[in-house]
Amino acid sequence: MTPLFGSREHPLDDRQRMAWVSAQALWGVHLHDPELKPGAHMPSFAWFSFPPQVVVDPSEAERNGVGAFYESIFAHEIGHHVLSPSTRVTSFALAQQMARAIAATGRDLIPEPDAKAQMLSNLWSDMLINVRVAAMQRQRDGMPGVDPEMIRMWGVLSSVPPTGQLWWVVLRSYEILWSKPAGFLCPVSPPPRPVRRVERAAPTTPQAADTDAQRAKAVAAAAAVDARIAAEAQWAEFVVTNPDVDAGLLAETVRTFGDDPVSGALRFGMLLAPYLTAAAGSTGLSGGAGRAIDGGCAGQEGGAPPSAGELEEVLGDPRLREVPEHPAVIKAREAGGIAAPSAENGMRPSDPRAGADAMGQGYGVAETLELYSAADPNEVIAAWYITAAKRWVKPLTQPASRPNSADETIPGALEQWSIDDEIASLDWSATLSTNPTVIPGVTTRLRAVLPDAPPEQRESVRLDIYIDSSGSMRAPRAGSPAVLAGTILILSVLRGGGRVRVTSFSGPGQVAGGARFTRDRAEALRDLTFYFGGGTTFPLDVFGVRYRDTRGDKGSHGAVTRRHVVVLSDDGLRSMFGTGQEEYARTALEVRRVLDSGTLIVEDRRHQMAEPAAAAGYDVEYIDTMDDAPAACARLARRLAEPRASRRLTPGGRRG
Amino acid sequence: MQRWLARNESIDAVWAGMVPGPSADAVASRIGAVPKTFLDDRVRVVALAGDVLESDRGRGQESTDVVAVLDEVTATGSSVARRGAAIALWLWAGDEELGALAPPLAREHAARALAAMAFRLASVVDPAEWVSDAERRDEAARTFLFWSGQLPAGEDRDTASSLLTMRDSLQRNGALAAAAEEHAHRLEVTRKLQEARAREAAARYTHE
Repeated sequence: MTPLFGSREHPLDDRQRMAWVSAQALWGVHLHDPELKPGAHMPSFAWFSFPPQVVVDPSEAERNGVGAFYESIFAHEIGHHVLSPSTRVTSFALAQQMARAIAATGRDLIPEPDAKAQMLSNLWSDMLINVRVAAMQRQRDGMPGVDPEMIRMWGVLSSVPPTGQLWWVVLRSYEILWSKPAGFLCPVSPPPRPVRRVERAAPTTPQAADTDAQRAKAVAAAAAVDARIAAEAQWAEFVVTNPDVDAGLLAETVRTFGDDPVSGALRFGMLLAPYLTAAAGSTGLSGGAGRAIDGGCAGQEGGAPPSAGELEEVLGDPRLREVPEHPAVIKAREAGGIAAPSAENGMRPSDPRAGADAMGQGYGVAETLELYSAADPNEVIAAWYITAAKRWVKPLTQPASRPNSADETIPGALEQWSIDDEIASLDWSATLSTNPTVIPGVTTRLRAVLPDAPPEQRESVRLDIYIDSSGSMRAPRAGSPAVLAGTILILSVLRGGGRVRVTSFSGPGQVAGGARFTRDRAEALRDLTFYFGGGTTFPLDVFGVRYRDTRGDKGSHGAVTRRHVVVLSDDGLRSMFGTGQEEYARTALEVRRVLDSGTLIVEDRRHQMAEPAAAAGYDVEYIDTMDDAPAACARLARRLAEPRASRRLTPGGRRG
Repeated sequence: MQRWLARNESIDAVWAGMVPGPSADAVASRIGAVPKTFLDDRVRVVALAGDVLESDRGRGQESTDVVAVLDEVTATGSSVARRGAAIALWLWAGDEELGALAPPLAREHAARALAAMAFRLASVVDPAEWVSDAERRDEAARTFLFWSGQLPAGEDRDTASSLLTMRDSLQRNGALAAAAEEHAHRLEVTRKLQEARAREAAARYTHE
């Protein structure tokens, strides 16, 4: 029978067929035939892709001397579909873990960090699979004194000694895992670490200044620059690698996390990322001229970028929130030698402004965008903020504005009408449908009346959000506390059944966003993350028009809908109170009178907005970092959810 | 550990007197089958040795040395040392209950093997792990064979030496502690860099 998906041009020969069957039996799976692609010019002789497909280049396998080990080659590639990564989402999560490890080690120190993350991800999967396949072969064959085929294949693949320390660590850990003596797969000692000359940077020249005071500040600034450069140089040079110790730790990590690739990936990355730094030298992965890299597997071929759903699933994985730590540190702590990690001493990505670790993700939005450069950037940004906001999201509702109505009833079952009952309660249609001849007290019917269930005590919120996207605000792709706060609010309102309207503004005439309130999360987040990058002019004209006539604000059952406004901005928000647009100087004040609540969430270290905001009746929350956003949102949510008694006025009119 | 170091055992002398022994896997399997009674702290190891090594009573000096080591174990009051010695005794006792290994476990250096298990290995790895963790079980088996003066079956000296070194927790713990210190220093360097960056940002802000 011709395989449905298999290669028709290059069918499996008998030996390959047997190997394919036994490799599937090893894993207990049944897949469609592998594809044979002689002369594919891939970096190695075997690779895989999604949807599940195994591809082998037989000519390359022969050239690498592994033509006699087809069962192990096939079993390895099948392992990518069964064990690691097994799914596209896991594949992205593994790469993300490696990228986090690279960021914790020092992203700036590692050339091509995103490509290296992919390489480490595949290497980790390879190790898990090879160790599992060797164990399954040993269990199946059970021949004392004879190594499983996988180990024998590695004896061939490792015939050329590694040139770099990373590959030595990998091979040494295979020796430990397979209980083979030192020297079986790699030399007893690791290759030496290359010595690099470090050029000392020239001292920074202070900027020209007119006064002594300015000159002193310029000198201090130049000294701070020099101190930072010196600290960076020391940081770049002092990369910790201990090949012997790391090989042992790597073997332990493979053994411990054999069934949980995503959890183990971070430790694996922390172990091997230091070997990728420029200071640690080359990886030595190529093993020798013209040989297959990476121990025989070229990893995953191609593949579409992640979808929005996949991104959210990957970034939302709680295993991606573990603090990156080197396994040596973890072991020392377990032994009681080191204190638990904290925000102070935990390894952090190089730029704390990127809003990475503070939110527990360990990876900033900018780095995430680079890692998924093939994906839609809007979807990456939205997924990042959604996952960063998720743990702070609670359904946001408010007390019902409609008064409880005790006299509301609903019709109940039909009952017999007797002559003692009121004549008005007689249900004539039910009576006549029972019998056309009316006999009072016998054929007469009435409809019972039941009290209605108590009306909802709480109702959803309709929130109008204005976000400043001027150049002074941090762009969403750089990690914006304002966008994070906005995301928490949007998700909370939507989860409470409410609606939001998001308006992004910058300079005069630069206003974006929908005109109506929506429950479409994607639409709201798209508006929230829209970035102009121009000047700052609050759109008082739009604001005024929107709240000029509020008579149409009707909710269900004719109740008036409560109106809540949140403005996310910085100290440039003075324009909201008329600065630069004097003709609208009173608009914010007048609008506030018809709002139930008005809150400014501002990045304003000097708290300059307090006075004008208070004068116009707006509450103010200050956020300087990503860490501040959840608390500010929680305070706002509390005010909306449990308004003080003094604020429980009738909807409309200055209700804040 | 001090008690072990005080014995001043020569590794070279052990290698020089090596004789063929059973495989490390076979010894490890026997460790995994240790009866609970051997691990019970209420059981006196000297009395246990009396039962297990009864046939060796005629071997004057070695028997005396064994008793001396076990008295020392008892004197320490250490549970791990007691259990380490008890597991070593079980390996010999297992011959009667499970049948002798091939080649049989040597008893010529019983005192040395007991001391290695009770004072060297047990001080760095709890004997409970010898039973529960495959890698530590292998380490215990290899340690026992080595200090008993036996080469694991199927291995030459280089292989046996390499695998014993690979499993050696004492050596590994030392290397790990040194590595952890280096990483702690790296964290300190990272912290200083973050401070330098913050100072630079503050200076620039003030200057502006």
